[in-house]
Amino acid sequence: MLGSTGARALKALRRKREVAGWFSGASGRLIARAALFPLLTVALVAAVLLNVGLGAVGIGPLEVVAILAGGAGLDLGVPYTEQQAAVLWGIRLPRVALGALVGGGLAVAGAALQGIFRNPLAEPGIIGVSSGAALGAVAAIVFGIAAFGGLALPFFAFGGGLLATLTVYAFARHGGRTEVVTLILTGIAVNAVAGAGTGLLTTMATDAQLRNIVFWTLGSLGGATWPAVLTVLPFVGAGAFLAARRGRELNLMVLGESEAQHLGVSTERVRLALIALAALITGAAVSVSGIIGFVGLVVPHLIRLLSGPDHRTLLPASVLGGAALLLLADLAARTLVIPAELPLGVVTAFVGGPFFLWLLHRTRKQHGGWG
Amino acid sequence: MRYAALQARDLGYSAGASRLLGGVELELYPGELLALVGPNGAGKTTLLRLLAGDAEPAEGEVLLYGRPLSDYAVRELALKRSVLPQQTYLRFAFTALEVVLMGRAPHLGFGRDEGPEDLAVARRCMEQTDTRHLEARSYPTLSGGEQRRVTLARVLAQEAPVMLLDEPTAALDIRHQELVMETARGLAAGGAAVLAVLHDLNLAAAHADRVAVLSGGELVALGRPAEVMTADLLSGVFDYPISVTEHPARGTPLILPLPRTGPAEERTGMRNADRHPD
Repeated sequence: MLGSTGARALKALRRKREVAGWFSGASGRLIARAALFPLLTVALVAAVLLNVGLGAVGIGPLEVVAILAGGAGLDLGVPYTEQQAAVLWGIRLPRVALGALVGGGLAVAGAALQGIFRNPLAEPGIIGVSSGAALGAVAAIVFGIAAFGGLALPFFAFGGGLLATLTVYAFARHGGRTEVVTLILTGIAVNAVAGAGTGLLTTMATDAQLRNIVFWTLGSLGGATWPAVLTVLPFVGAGAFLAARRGRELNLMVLGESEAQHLGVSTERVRLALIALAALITGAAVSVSGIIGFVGLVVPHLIRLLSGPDHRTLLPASVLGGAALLLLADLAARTLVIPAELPLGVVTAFVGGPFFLWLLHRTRKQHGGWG
Repeated sequence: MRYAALQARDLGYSAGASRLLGGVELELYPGELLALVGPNGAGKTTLLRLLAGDAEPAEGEVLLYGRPLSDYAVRELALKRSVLPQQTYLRFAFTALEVVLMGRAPHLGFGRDEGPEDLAVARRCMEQTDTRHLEARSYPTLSGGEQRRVTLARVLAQEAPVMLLDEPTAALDIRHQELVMETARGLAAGGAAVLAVLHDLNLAAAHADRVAVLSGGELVALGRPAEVMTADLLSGVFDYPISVTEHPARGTPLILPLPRTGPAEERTGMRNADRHPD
């Protein structure tokens, strides 16, 4: 038996340890989930206003509202020029809409893939889904299939993306989990083969096709039109909606394959559904904007840092965050070297590459690396 | 007449050409804690996987409340039996409480979130495994033993009447080993059917109602610890000289390994020492 002094000291020590536990290892959530969505919405609205307002023709936020109201037949009494209205409706708005869809889609696809692979490094660009989709798109262009109509190109991009995803999935998984090294190496192989295929098709392409192909491999929102927006909207919209409904099951999947099953999840069904959705969203996004890397990596990571890894929050929040981030990147792509324009994929890679390095560095410090 | 909660009938399993398990007949009753012991590679984890429904048996079948496992829908099964895996691997920074709440999943309908009742269950289960103070901590930053106890709390939160625990005491210090075994005992006392794979023979002897000894893929003994855990049987199964005395406080078998050769063996007068001439 301990003396009463000893017992008291032991109790105090235990309490101290508990308190230390609460703070030192505290979950590190910066923002409550309830505050996250308003914050992201504000960020997205700000990004939209900046994007539609800035450029060769300036349009102020009030003028934007007035032009939009004018489109609905209302006169708000704010003066604007015909040129401003034409630029807004014909150029800026479709581009902003397309950017939001592509950014939100890529981010939610990244978040879903990371959950399915139980690995925070899975990203459409890194594991080769985007280049698979691009190969599909390029094949559709070179073989003239794209001429068959609006859906042919997204369909081929989707097929390429799905094939790449399944390849990575088949090769990188072992015993219900993916090791980071295997995942990245598989991604390198898929990227190499898809890149080689794209290169091969490039040599067979006509000059006009070639210009198209370069656009696809660099990634850009420059070709934004309302028809493009309408083509990609149902894919990204439905895909994101369906993926977001799988949040709780994805939480359990992250725990482990058999663990999820023990908890009542039909893992095979959920996994295939989410892989197909991720490929669908990525394929649709790539078919209108080419390869835009790192959005699917950066956005889910930032959201997790802000308010934790719960997929019920993460998936819908990634849509908003991805839209906002891609719009800001596109703003930089459009305005940094006026009157020329940088390819959007180049901008996201310049931001995403260093972010990736920081992520590796941080993880190595915290968990001793990804082995 | 007692009805078994879980029943293995002539269970067999092979991986490639090697037969991992054969002819296992085992019944797990409500209200009992059954310890499954045996040397490395005896087939304990394989048997647990078959009982959990993770793998299809090559021969025989597993019945849960009289119905074959394959008859159950995944979620229905999750309401009836829970499984503590040997290892867990979680990269994402869920808090300990969030992990435990995941155990409530089978009780929630599609798309429904956890309510206050689920939170109360989760917290109670964390209390039981001495992890309540860790609830806001990020799971990947916990120590191995803490992760283990949080995972056990998650399994408890599932509130399934049949529990299969694969080495619940691995990586735990001696206080928490006892705590976990007492928790398992308490669950059995409350009517649950609990099966635990244990490496520590003394924990099995002290806490289990019955002990099943697996060796070379076959069930070689099944009964109360005092009947089953004899020096003869254990020395044979583990291929190592083992002495069994009585626990000074509990009166249950106390199992001690003996030096392989030399005078110590003669001093204890171990009868089967001649079985191990090396």
